[in-house]
Amino acid sequence: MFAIFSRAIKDRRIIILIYCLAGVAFLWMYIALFPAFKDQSASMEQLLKNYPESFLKAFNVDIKSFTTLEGYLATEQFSFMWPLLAIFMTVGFAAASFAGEIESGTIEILLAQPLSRARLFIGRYLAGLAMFIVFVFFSIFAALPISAIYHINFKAENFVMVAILAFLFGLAIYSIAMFLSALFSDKGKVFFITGGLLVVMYVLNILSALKENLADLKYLSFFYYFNPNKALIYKEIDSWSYVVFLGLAFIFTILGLIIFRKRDITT
Amino acid sequence: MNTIEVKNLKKYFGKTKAVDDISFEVRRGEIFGFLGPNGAGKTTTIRCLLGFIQPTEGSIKILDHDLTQKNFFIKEKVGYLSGDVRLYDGWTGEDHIKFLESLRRGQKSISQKLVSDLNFNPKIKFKSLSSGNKQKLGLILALSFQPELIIMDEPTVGLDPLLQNTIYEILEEFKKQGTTIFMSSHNLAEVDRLCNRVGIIKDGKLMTIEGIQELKDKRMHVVKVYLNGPFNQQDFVFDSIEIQKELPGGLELGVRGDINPLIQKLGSYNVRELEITHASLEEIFLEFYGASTNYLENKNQNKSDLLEIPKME
Repeated sequence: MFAIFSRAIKDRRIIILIYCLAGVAFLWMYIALFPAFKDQSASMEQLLKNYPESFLKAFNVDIKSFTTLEGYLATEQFSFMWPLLAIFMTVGFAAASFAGEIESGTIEILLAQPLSRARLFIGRYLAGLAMFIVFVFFSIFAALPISAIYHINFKAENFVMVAILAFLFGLAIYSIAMFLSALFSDKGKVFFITGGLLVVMYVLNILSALKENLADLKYLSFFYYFNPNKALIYKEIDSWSYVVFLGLAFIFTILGLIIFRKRDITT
Repeated sequence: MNTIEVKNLKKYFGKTKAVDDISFEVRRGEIFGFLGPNGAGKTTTIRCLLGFIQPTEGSIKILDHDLTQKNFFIKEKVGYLSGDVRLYDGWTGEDHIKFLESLRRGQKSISQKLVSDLNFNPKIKFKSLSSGNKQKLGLILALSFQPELIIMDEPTVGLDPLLQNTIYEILEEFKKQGTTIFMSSHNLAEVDRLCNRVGIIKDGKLMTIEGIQELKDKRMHVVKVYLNGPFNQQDFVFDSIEIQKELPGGLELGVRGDINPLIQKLGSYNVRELEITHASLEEIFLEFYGASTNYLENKNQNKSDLLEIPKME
């Protein structure tokens, strides 16, 4: 299993590096722009007061979004760009892990070896998870030295909180994508279904904030449980976020493992 | 002693019966050819033997162990080569070899010897290799751990004769060391050279299992002969020969079995041109088994009836 794990990491080291660099670059850009935003915070606050509360809620904009680094990053980086990078990274790795290998036929060389399918699944799963942890670490904690460079005050413990939330969010998406990758023989299906599911969730979250009678739909969306404002500004994570993300990650990982062990694999 | 024992194997994909109740054994140390037209069920059977797909019904024993129970143990002793080797484009041959060595830690590898015997450059990425070199790498990976059983699915398809010959020599060497080889093939010459016995599958059913000599006896040739001067067509009418076509100054003959009586007969003529071609294995299948029922039904008939050479249409 270690051979599967280490080889997967080795094969994707350049991709991990690119994702980490992209995450850090966006972070750097936003942090570099923060002093300018902060100077305009009074007028921005005035502007925000003119927007309906539901609109601000739908797009994760907090009143502290332009007055504190944490609020600013929660809105600019962690409400859109970071989740996008995390989704591309986790789904991309998951899709290539099994469905991609079946599609290209390379899975045969693995299945012909004295290696159980369970070990193959777990080895690949852990490799993807390890890479995601590396991405979470660099794309979040790089904020601390970068902020120091620009002499911006920050609350380090709040970044730990958002890192935990971000990890849980990515873990749930990754587990669903791994399940789909174990189920299908075409990585396009993994991208399409996972992507479609997340788009629907995103829309549900926005609709639930805009329309009162649709408010309950938010419970069906990952983007409701993934609330970077709360984590980064107020150092809080809803207990339901733990339950939903960890619960779904567990369920889909086990389902993926069972299916991968039992299914017919024809290339 | 049998290396492979397949009993009442069925594999259905929905309503499609890819493999329909086949049973056969492969003896230890023999090369067993698994023959059949495209879509007959050869690859499905091989995938069942390797555990890539689960049988709908039936059992598979390899090296005296149930495949479903002792998959790990069996895979340690099995090498697999597909006719269409698909490996990681971005890896070199060396990467592939090292990766398999790390997966099979503790098993002795002879990969360096094979690399040298096959004159293979392991430093080139898979995507840059020619089809022949891709097949060489597949063969190295299949044989590196000196398997007790080698399973191959049309291993030499699309390869040049030189490389085919090298592969045959390596397989013969392995056979001498007691390795059992199970291979599917369309190539009659390959089967002729390598195999001890063959199983013929058609439409998912096993039509027959025969020794290679018995199959050879059923060989067909197409002979085109052009003669100088007049000739008597009746001279070329034997039990095993049929005149298929009249040619300007010659004949096209269908010959079943031994070709020597025809050659002897031609000796009494002044031959201008002679062309002898083997009928393809698939043509033999169609000829011999096209309208036949399956082997299990035939098994109850007299053995000599089964092996009797039917008259050509």
